[in-house]
Amino acid sequence: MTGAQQPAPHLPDAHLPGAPFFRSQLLREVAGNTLRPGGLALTRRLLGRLGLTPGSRLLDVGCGPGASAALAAEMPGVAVTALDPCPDFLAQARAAHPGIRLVRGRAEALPLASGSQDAVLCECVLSVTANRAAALAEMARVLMPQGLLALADLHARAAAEGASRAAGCAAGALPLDALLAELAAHALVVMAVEDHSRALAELAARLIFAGLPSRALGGPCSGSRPGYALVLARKEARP
Amino acid sequence: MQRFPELAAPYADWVCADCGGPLVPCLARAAYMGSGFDIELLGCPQCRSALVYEDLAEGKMREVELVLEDK
Repeated sequence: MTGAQQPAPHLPDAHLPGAPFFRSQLLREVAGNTLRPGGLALTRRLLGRLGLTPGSRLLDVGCGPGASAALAAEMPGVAVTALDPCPDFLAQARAAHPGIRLVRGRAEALPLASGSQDAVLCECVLSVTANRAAALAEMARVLMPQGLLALADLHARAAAEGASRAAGCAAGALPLDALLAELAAHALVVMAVEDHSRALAELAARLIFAGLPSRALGGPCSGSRPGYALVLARKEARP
Repeated sequence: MQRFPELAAPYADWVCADCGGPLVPCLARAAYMGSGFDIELLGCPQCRSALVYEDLAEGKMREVELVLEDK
């Protein structure tokens, strides 16, 4: 681990409840190392909106095996810090992308100085984070004034009457308007929202072909309708 | 590419209805509502036809259709 401005707290391996779907071998086989809908194409889209230049500092919260952080690190002169609570993911990221600065830590307690980052990238993390408000507060804290938060995540859409609760990663997803309201509550001004629910549907379809029951996805067969969106928000500059 | 060996097994001794040749694993592309998925099906490479197993059509393919219809 390098680059942390204070030591990351000790994290027991049982920090995540149950056996989270995003750590399953099936998702890895189907989605690849990004572990999320849209793959690196959507990550490129987010990174392209951040206006990073040589000297910019980017934090990837919940980096997993490091695919997005590695992509960001290809941008000339951009200093990338990749954070994840899972030692296995960090070990995989270290092996696959030895040049990335890796930090073990949780979104709810970022071991970085306030105002130290030009941008924060957070893909498919908030919906599986135990304390979303704390995570958003931390991301806002480490962003410099006018810094940008790039989110990609699941959100809950209107479910059919009598529908079962969404499952898997979608179980913790908020309705999009509620998510945007939470951003605003943390002085993060939403600049752009893009719907990419089609990418989620295509990943769900590939998972079904690979053997995952559709009810495990919280998909139409369960009556719930998760969506997927990219959100770009700017940290308010406060006097 | 997704394979379905357990669903293909009952059809291992089927032959092509057109040429009578044996069916062999072939790459096929299942497309629906603008999305496409590479899958392996038993088919006839000579006649360029593929067999969609009943259990696959009524099972996973049906579920995938529902997901892509996004209703």
